Amino acid sequence: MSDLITCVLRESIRRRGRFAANVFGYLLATATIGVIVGLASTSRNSADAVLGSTGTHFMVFAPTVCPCSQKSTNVEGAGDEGFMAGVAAVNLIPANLATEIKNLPAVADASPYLMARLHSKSDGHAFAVGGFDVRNGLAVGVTCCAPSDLVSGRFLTPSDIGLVMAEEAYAKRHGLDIGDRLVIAGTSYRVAGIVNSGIRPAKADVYMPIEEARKVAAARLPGTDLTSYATAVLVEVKNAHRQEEAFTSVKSLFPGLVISSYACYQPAKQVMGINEDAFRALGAGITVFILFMVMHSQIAVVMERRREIGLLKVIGWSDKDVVQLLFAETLLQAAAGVVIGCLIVLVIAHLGAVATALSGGVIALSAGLPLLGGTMTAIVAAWKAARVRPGEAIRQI
Amino acid sequence: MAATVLECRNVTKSFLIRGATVQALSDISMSVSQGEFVVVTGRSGVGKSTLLSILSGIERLDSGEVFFDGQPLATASNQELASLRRHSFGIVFQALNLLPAWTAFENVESSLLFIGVPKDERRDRVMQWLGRVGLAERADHLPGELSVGEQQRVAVARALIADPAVLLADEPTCAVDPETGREILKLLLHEARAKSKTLLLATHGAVPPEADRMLRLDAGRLE
Repeated sequence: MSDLITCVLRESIRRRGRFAANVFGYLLATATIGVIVGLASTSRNSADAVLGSTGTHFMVFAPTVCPCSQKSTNVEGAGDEGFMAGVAAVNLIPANLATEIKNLPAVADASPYLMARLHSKSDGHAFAVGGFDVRNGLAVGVTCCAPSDLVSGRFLTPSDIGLVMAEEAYAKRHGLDIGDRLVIAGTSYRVAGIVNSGIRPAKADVYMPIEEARKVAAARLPGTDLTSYATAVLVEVKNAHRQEEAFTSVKSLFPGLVISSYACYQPAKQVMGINEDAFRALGAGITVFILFMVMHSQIAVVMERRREIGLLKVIGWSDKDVVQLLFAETLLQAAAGVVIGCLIVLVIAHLGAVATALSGGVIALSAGLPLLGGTMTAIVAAWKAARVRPGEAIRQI
Repeated sequence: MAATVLECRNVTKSFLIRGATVQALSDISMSVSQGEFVVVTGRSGVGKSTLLSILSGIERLDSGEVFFDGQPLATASNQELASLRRHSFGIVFQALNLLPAWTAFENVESSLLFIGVPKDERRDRVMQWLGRVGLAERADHLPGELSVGEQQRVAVARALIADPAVLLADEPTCAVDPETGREILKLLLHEARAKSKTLLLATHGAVPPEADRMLRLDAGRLE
């Protein structure tokens, strides 16, 4: 083994130019793969971070016009007041459905929601009261309202008593401001915050804790205990890729319930798919091209040494002796290039010259592919060396 | 009577060159005894080098039989032929055929690599042989830094260091000056005589008077 190492190092040192050229080829392949894959990975991760959460929410409820599932309760409202989910009239559903939905693999979060349409006693206008779990931030925030929607005042907290938030449009219509009082179902509430929740499936006019909303609704329907009920479950999915999985899971779990969502997860998912495909194609194309060039160069160099290989065989070196020499030389060049290339990638990432996501996978890919190419080249080079016929080789000038 | 160490029977060899078949050897039958000094002579291109290549297993014959110590070479594997050349044949070429990136020391040492000779022993033997050919001080020089005559002396040392039983010298003096040529022949002959080695010398020049026998080739046939 030491003789082999000596011969390999000797060839590498004595033919410095050729050695350096081949090492540079592998270095370039490694560094290029690392930087480009790292860049593409960063870009993809950034895109996924945005797109992954696009349209990944929906609402589950039991509309009154559909056959009720076993889990819903048909409770009539008073007059045209009643229970809602968005713009649909609904039956009540058990609040603990949220817990069951939350436990589904594709679901990130779920929360019970109670919305009631009421009429004002003062002027008879209709308004919607939305009761949400103030402790929940994720599902409520994407389907109903979030602290980031605040226009003025503050968001409700779990310890609040007698406080509500008003939707900005409703507040403007009725001249409401922070600190003003609202009487709902005979109870006076103070406006703590005004929000603009944009377009969300659980958008209401007035928001309050779900416990308070149950009391308000019950006041309209004396004798009705709404403690463990909701009108909808607000759901946030883990990412756009799993939206449909979540739909399927909910539907199979609760047949008869309706799912209402925005379909914007579909283009998001499509774009993510395009990004992923482009990323793979780019990485694969560049890798194949660079490796091909390097491998071709190395094998060409081996063929230039046909006469020397033939000479070694003439003086009595076996095919095995020659093969192991060529194999080791070629692999050494690949390994040296890969190691230096990885160091360059690390330096580039460390210096922040290029924003690269240097995960273990990127490093492994940067090192692994050139090394694999180098190994294949070494095998081909060794095979070609084994096929050299000594008499033929030394006859060549 | 000395044993036959090399023998060929009805050997034929041709080469395909640019689509045309060139008959190098036709129906060659000959034998060489142990310790014999045989000169193969003839004009350039008559097949002398081919005959030596066939006898040493460097080239495969088209038809016929070749024996070394009674063992057929035609059916031997590449591995067996390589081992034969490593341990039993010392070959000196017409063209110098040194490895250009290896020093004189390393070129001579190449005959002893990968066959289990310890490094220290290798060093001693290489330096001894470089001393015998007068190049001990040039051990670290590359072939490009040596004269043609010096390169040929390195090649001779490489051929002899493994103590082969048969020496095949294919026009070893044609590329060097007459004085160096005489030194090389003298060394080969001394080695052959001292250790009863068989020496087969191919030449298109004058036949050395020390030769036991001469074989003359003409157009691939023995006269």
